[in-house]
Parts: sequence; structure tokens; C-alpha cells
Amino acid sequence: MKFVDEFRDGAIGARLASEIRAIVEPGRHYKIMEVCGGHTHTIYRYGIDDLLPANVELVHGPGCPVCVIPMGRVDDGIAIAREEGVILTCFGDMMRVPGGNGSFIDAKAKGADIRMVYSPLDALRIARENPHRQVVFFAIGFETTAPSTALTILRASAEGIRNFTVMCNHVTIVPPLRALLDSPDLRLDGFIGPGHVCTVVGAKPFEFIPAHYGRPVAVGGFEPLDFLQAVYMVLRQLAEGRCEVENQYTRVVPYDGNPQALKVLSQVFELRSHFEWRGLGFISQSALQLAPAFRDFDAEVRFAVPGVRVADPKACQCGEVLKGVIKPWECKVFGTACTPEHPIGTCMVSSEGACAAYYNFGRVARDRAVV
Amino acid sequence: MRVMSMNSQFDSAMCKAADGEVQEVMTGLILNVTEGEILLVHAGTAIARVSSMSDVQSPTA
Amino acid sequence: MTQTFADGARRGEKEREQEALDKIDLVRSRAPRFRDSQITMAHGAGGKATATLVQGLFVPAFANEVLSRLDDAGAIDVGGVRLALTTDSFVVKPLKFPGGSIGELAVNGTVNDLAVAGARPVAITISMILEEGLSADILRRETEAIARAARVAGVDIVAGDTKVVERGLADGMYICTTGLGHIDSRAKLSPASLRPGDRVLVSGRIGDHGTAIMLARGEFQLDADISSDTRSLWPLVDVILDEAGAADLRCMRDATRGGVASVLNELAVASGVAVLVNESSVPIQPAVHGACEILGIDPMYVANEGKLIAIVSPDAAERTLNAMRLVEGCDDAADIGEVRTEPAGMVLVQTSFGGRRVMDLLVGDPLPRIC
Repeated sequence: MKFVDEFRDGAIGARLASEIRAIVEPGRHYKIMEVCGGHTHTIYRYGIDDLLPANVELVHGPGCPVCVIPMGRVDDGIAIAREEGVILTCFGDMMRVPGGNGSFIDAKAKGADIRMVYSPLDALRIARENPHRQVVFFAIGFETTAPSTALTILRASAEGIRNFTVMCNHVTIVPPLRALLDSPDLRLDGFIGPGHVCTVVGAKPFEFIPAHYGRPVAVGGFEPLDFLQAVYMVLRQLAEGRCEVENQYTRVVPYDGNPQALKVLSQVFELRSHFEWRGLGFISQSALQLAPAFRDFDAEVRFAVPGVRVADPKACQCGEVLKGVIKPWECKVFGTACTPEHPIGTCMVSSEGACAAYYNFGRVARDRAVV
Repeated sequence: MRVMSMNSQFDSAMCKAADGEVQEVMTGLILNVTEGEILLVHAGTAIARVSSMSDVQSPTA
Repeated sequence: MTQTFADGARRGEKEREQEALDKIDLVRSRAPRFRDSQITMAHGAGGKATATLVQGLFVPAFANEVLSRLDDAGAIDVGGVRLALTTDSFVVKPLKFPGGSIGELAVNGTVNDLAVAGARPVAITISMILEEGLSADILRRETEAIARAARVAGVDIVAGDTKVVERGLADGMYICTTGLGHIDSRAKLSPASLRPGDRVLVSGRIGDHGTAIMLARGEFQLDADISSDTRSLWPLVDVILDEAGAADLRCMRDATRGGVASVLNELAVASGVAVLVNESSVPIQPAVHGACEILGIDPMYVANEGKLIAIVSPDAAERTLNAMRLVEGCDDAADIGEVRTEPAGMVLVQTSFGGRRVMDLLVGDPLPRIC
């Protein structure tokens, strides 16, 4: 893939890494949060940790859509899936997220018809092919995936498909960041902005971070060179005493976002008054629900949803991990009661979750000198 | 992914990844999609067009 | 003063982190216990859940020395003749896919389990579980496919069985097999025999079969020209045994379910060594790479049906590889990495970008990721 390979060139990566080493102050410890789960994936996929100096620490932020879904919503999804004639569809990484009483995979084993899709359009196709079944799409994700759900609903509406609904769990990125920044125990030096979210909302909504919280931001892409360059940009701002929103990912991110996508979002969705985030608690105006005009496509309207709130397990400290307050290994249940095979918190579910990543990779970080 | 052909009825296009995979992509968020251009696709929907490919370079360059 | 305090705090932190890591190692080193309340799809995926089921339930229940070695085929001595015995079941959906079909797969999968155990396939049995309503044309087609594959592999089908189950209880047809092979005198294989410095050879491009099946299911609305790699591996094994022989060939594995990653993990654990894979040397055809990238799946975990991993001594690596490449269908065979001492029991990947990451066993199936 020619134009992708350009952004995976190890030689340029090594050069960038040495530029990064040159710009950091030796005695200073830097904590930079990559907001997006996609970036976390890039870090592990390419071993980027390995290329950074030891005093530059990357903290995984709240931008993994799977990791922030509270248990109650999983249970609600399972309750819908158990209804007669329902096919519940969801993205693959949602399958293993534990609810109060098992995950979608467990519910599937107990007989619920739960299917994995790659795009909400696939869910709509299943609805078209199964006119006598009710097909529900369990929608998750930030502003990156929400437009996809919105377009699918518009298309279902245009085609007059009546057996398709969406259980909307779409969330927005700015409110949880604000919640993090307001938390008194937070220690972060800068942020890597979520490139894909920014293709939709633009880089502009992140201006409050430098303006009100005095932390630099660099919006970054997802190829390893993109990411390394974004890290460099944050460090350069810190070195030069600047504090602003910079855009590394200019080949895709317009500073003001994608107006067409924003229009579709505001047409199909409206803000929920509040939404619960796993580990972060309730955050007001942080999630989307279907606008009244699209109530017919709202699974929470069509089906009786228990809506029971399941408290996060007491021992689980996913919230503090997400905030970067504690490291995964400092959590009381880490590695004992909570493992990738039997996760308690969502940080352990997705292989990119901060805890799963540390569980799997931490020992190597320690052993790096030996290898 | 590169746009191969458009379906204006549903605002979608058949797009081809550089490695040869072909999939239907919803293009309702991108105005005036034309054949041959490159789109950033997320969960089956194009969310941005890819304008230039040259914004990664050595920082000192 | 402050300096000393900070140093002290950091040292304390290091020790506590070490404790957490040691705890993980302890949990990992324990014999797996099967404590799930029901079977989920993860138990059949060849990852951690499968290992827990096999080692936590079956091996202790059937307790015997041959089984506990967990080789692809069990070695038994009958009147001074060393035989390898294996069994397998095939439940693939769809029954026919680009590059093969269930019948061909059943024969090749069975003889390959024998081949990688160093045994020349002699005979197999075929048991069919047919679903009421299955078209006779399909059954005829698959019977011919079985006969053809058996001819190519040089085995006789010496016994069989047929059962029919009610409509809805099987996806058309399932095939169960037994394979009997004659262990070659050149083969002195053991998964516990890996030594630091040994080379890891793979017999060709990986991920073809699993990707072809995923696309053939049509769940992802993704088209690409990818065919299954199903083929008999005995001709290749014959060449490897000739070239490396008893002195230099440590072990071979058929990289089926769970892919190359799972096989290497099993070997690293069995031998108490580390395996370092050089990502840029791993042969993957561009279409597979692309499809996996779009679906967010790592091809190293994707199933193959005609690829083996051979671990050979460093001295024999080059000539063995050269010989392998002359075998039909193995032109892309490659040396993809080496065996090291530390970190014992783990597989690391040197990424093409220059960093390093851990390639652990998956819990269940590789799930497409969205974030």
C-alpha cells in the first residue's frame, strides 16, 4: 500500500525518535496522554514505546469506545437481544465487554442471536434480508463512528425499512476530557488529539485545553510516523514554552472539521442530558441519542429496556487508570482477580485497554535491557 | 480507499483499498465525491478525503 | 534533599511494580483451571480459552503421557513400529470457499497433523454428520473432493461412518477424521527442544485460509481475491527431514487455528525460551494484509491450512530454507525469526517500524476492532 508505507518508514521513524531524544530535558518526566484508542493501538502495534526516551511516558486516555461503555448498557443490550425475534448486531470488539451478568459472547452462548458487523450498513443489510426479525444495532463510538450510524438511519428511513433500530451509545470526546482536566489529581503535560474524531469535529473544539488548562495539544494521525511526529510537536511546544492546538494530521483533518458530517449528526442525534461512563461516572451532555424525528429507529423506544444501573465493581479502579492517576499495576485487583481471561473492568477487555496492554507487555518493558 | 464508482441513489460508492479489497462505502458526508479520489473510511463510512500525502517529514526538514 | 526523596519514591515504585509483575508471572505459570460456566465460541478459537479447556479439563481427565505432550498427533509404539495417531473435526462455513472446500480441508488437515509430527500419512477415516435436507449434489461434490485430496496426499480412506441429524442441527455437513501415520526415522521432534539461536522458518505466505473464509462468509461486505492455502504438507516435511534431519530439526507445527502467533507461543512455553519474530521477514500477500488491516485483525493470528513452522538449528537454517523453497507452493518460505533466552515463554515481534512488542496468545477469536 504505497501511500501508507510512506508513513511506516522505519528509517524516518528512527530519525524522528532521535529528534525527540534531543528535545526532551534529561531530568524532566513527561506524561502525554493519547486520547484515542486508535493511537494506543498504533503504539503497541509498532512498538512505539520502545522508540521513546524513558522519561516520556504515554498515558492512555478515555478514547477507546469499548472501554467506556458501562455494564448497565451491556445488560440492556443483552435484554433486547433476548427478546423474541431480535437479532442484535455490534462491532467485534464489543463482544467481550463484561456486563453485570456476562458479555455478548456469553449471551450468544445462551441462545441470543448476536452477530458481529463491520459497519452499521451491514446491520441494515441483515434487516433487509430478515424482514420478519427485529434487527438492532448496538452503536458505540465517538464522533468518528456516529456519522456512520447517522447515515445508516437516514438510509433505513429512505428505504422504509421498519425492522431496524439502533441502541445508541455514541459519546462525544470533549466532555470526558474536560472532566479529566478538572480532576485535581491529574498530572499530564500534553495531549495527542484524536485524529479521526477531528476529521469530523475539527481541531477547533480542543482549543479549550491550551486556553483554559494550559496544556499543549497536537492532533495526530494513526500511522506510526504520524504519531511520533505528534509526540514531537507536543514536546516542542513544551520546550519552546508554547501552548496551542497544532494539527499534525493536515492531510485529512480540516481545522474546522467536516461540516457535512456535523450537519448529519445534528439532524439525526441530540445530546443526552447525561450518560454514564465506565470508571468516570455520569458526565452531563456527553452522549448522543436519536432526535425525536427518528424515534421509530430508537431501540430504547421500541423495546422495554431495563435501564438498571450496575455499579462498577468496587475493587476495580478503571476510572483512575483512565485518568492516568494510577498505573494499571497499582490497581488492587490487577493481575489477580482481573486478567484478560476473566476481566472485571473494561481496561482489561480490549487488547488496547491500558490494563490488558500492561498485563501483556509490561514484563517486556522491564526486560527490555535483557532482550 | 480509492473511489471506483458511485451510486448516487444512496450516496454510496464502491471503493477499493490499495491492496485490492473492494467494499461499499457510504459517502453522504463528503460533498461531490469523484472517481479516483482517496477517502478515509471508518466503519463503512467515508469521513474525510485525503488531500495530500506529504505532511509527515522529519521535523527539521 | 528533594532529589533523594524522589529517587527513594521511584525505587519504592519500582519494587512495587516488580511485585505486580511477579504476581502476573505466578498466575500465568499455574496450571490452567477450567472454571467457565458454559462453552462459548472462544473455547474453540485456539487461543487461551481453548488451552484452558484442554489443559484444565481434558488432559487431567484422560491423564496419560502421550496426550499430555499436546502434540498435533500422539506417538504410540505398536510392536516396535512407531505410529502417529490424530483426530480432527471440520465445521467450516461456508462449505465451499475460494481455494477449497470442507472435504479437501478434512483430508489435508488430518494428514498435516501427522506430517508435522514427522509421520508419513498412511490411512485416514472419515465420519460424516449430515444435516437433513443437504443437497445430494453437494455431498457428491465433497465426496469427490475427499477422494481427490486423499489421492494427492497418498493416503487411503479405510473406514467411515455416516449420521444424519435433523434440519437446523448442523451447517450442512460436519466431517470428523482419524489419521494414522508411520513416524519417520529421521524425525526426533519435541516442542521442548528449542534452543537459543535456533531459527524459525515458515513455509509460505500466512493468513490466506482464515482470511479467505472470513471474506467468503460475506459478513463484511468486502471483496478481495484471496484463496485458501489448503494442501498436504507431507512432501514438504519429507524435504525438511532430509535436509535438517534428526540432528538439526527441533520441531514442526501446523499453523492452523490461532495462526503462527499461537504456535510460536506454545513452543516458547514448552521449551522455556523466547521467540523473536522479525515482522518485515514474515511473508504475507498484499491482499491478506489489506483485508486484515481493514478488519483490524493481525494476520499472525489468522488460520492457515497448508503452512508449517519449522524450528531448525542455526547451522541448518539456510540450506533447509533453500530446499523448502523448491517444493511446490513454498516459493515464499522464509526465515522469520530466532529463538532467544529471555523473556522465557514469550513471543516478541520486532516491528517493521523499529519498535518491539509482545505477541501473546489471544483469549478467543481475533475480533475485528473498531477503535
